[in-house]
Amino acid sequence: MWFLNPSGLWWLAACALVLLLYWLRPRRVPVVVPSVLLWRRTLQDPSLQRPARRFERSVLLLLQLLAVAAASVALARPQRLTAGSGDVVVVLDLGVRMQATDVRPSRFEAARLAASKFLAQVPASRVAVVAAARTPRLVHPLTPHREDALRALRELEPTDGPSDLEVAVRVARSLNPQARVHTFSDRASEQATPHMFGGPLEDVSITGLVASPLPGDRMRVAVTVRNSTAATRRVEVSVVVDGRPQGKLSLPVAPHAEATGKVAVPAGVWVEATLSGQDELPATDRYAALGTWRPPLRVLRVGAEDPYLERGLEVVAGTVDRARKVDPRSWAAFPVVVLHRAPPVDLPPGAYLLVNSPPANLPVRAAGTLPEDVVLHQSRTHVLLRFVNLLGVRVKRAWRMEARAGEVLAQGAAPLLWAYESDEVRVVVLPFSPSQSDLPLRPDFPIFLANALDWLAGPWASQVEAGRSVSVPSGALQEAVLHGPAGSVRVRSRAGRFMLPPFDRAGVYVLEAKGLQRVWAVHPSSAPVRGGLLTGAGAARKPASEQAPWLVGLFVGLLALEWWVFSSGAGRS
Amino acid sequence: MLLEPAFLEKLERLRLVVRRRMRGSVGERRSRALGRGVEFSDHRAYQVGDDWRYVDWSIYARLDRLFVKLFEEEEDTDVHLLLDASASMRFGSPSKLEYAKRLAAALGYVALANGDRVGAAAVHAGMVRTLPPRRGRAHAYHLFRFLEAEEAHGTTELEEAAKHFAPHRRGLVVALGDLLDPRGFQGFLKRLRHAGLEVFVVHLLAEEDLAPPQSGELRLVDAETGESVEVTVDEQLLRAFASQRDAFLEEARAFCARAGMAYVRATTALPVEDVVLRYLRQAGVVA
Repeated sequence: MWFLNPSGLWWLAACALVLLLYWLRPRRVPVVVPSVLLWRRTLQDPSLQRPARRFERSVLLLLQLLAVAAASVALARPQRLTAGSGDVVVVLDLGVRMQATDVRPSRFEAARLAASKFLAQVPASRVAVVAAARTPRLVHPLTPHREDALRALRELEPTDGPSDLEVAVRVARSLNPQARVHTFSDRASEQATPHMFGGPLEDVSITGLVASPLPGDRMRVAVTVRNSTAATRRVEVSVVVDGRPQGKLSLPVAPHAEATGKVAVPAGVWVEATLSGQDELPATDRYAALGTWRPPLRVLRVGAEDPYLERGLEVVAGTVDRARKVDPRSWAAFPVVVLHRAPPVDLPPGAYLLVNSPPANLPVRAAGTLPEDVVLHQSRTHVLLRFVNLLGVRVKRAWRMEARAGEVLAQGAAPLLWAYESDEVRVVVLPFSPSQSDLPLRPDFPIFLANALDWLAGPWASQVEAGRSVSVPSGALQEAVLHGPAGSVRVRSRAGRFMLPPFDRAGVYVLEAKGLQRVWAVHPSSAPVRGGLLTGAGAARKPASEQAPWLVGLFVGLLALEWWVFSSGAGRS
Repeated sequence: MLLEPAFLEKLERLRLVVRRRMRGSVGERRSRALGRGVEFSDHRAYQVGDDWRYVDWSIYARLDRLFVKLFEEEEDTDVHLLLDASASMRFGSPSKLEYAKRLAAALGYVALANGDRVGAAAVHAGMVRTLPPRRGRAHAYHLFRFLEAEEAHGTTELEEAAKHFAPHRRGLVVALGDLLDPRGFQGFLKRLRHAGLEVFVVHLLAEEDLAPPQSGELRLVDAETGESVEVTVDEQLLRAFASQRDAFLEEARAFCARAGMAYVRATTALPVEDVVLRYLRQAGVVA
């Protein structure tokens, strides 16, 4: 048996108060007797004159003391140690709501402090720490060394993203199904002992930011604001484009409602809106989104020239560099490399459009030539063929593809368009030159090229919610730098990808390397802000080791018994 | 009506037994005075000053020692019924005073039926209200009315009352009360004894005297003085009280025994008839 809230035992001091009140107000019953002669003689015995005798054998006093003791112990939340429950797992909520300042200094800081104290005092053979973020993670495995777990706990920081407490508890349970799991959050979990922090929040937050293009190199920014307070608020919104203030909005927002305001600003890569004024959750007062401006795509064309291909690339890509010599070492600086009639070569990690160029290290091979063919079938779902119709395209000469993996997107007698994606490479293979088909004569050709380059290059910029983790194909690059709201970090390529740390803070993140730039506009979680919640019906369910309900029942029973004794006049023994 | 007719009939057959010599006029009381009376009672050794006329010479002839003959002398006796009518006597069911009245009436009737003079006195707060002694059965009516008129009130000041109780003739005094006098009952009884009276003590007790009325935190208020005592009644106190109570009762009994006084203890739970016909007879008070 141990106590979840040992400070609750201080209420036992109330027993002294009960005794004092009892001593001060004895409420003696007057009784007329024939004579007090014998009583005076009786009371000459010193042992009968002790003040403590007043408290002895009083059923009412005994019941009151027991009731106070039961309530005090219940407030201390005693826990019963069961067999196999020697392990304790602490789950700390890192969600954006934990940054609320309704608990000083913040819910998170209060929760972390409480978790540290709990972890230092809880009787357990081993302890572990789990962080409840968008993707819950094991911060420290079960260990008998508490200092290690405490150190890991102290290094945790809140995020601007949501938190999945239930999954975090499942992670904790996976360590040891018999372990006692304690959550430190503003919510409760069904399968854990909750330690709650925070109450209802007074919050005004930005929940949406969308930029749409306008003529004249401008864009319209729509800002959505939610008012979670009980009063109408007029909020001032500042709009920043690529780091420069560009506009302001003033919005009246009704209680528990949303309002959207629009403002025209110069086009930019990213836009950020900020609410003025203070509330209990400042983390939701900023919101970042992508602007409408896109940088031109830089493409390297290697191998022989094809006039139709050249023309098409010039139209679709921003910049086309050309190289006749096949030198894979020089390709790392280009997001997309286009090979035309190039000899088979081992492709380094990257994105490639192979036009009439059989690859050497892909699950496809050239099995002779194909004299003439017509596209009879094509994929209707792949993004490469969005708004593209290749049916009926005649091919005068091609090499015969035999694919062991990937996806054939167009086919006649043999595959005529093939796409493949792995951790290291993303490849589109066209087994013929445009000039050897009637494809360039169709309006689908530039659309197909644009789709292919977009797919190969990947999204240049994205808009994500805080807490997400992303990876980016690294191509031939070995190292990149990620700039974010909290500073810059170097990331190294692993298995052809840059595995970026989670975007825990809202803001703009830029990944830069030689010839590579990616942008993410990260916004805080827009989950409804509710404080002091008991989530779902399961929240009412207490862990089996919790003893407080029994003691509360005992307290109520003692009060009822005391009332009965008092009413029946049997209070004095 | 203090006594039922059937009970009165039974009382007709009883007589008071007095163990000390008493001085009286004509009556039916048997005295052990020397040289009086006609009925032989006993012998005792001769003492200086004894009347030579009562020496039993036949015994002297046989034993060569002087003995005198004792004769029971018939004489009338004053019987004084002394009731404690203080406030403490109203406790009990029936009250101790009511019980004392009936007992006094019974004893008075026995005495009147045997030709004795019977008087009565009630004690309140050190004062005495008296009914002078008279002889004859007709006096029973006055005696009963006197007793019926008594109400329990005032404090118990027995010794002070004894100062005001001065009978003209010696005789038997029957003291009925609970003896709960803060100044002690001994002085009262000694005064009666020193006045040459034969003393017969009827110690009356009610349930309230034997055990406390309830348990818990009590403020006990004296019915006579209004003084209060705060007590926490529990088993320990009950044991101590029972010990004090028993000591008090034993003290009364032992005092009377030492002083040659007849002593009978009765609780109001006992029927008066049983007390008179059974316990007083066993105690040698009536015969």
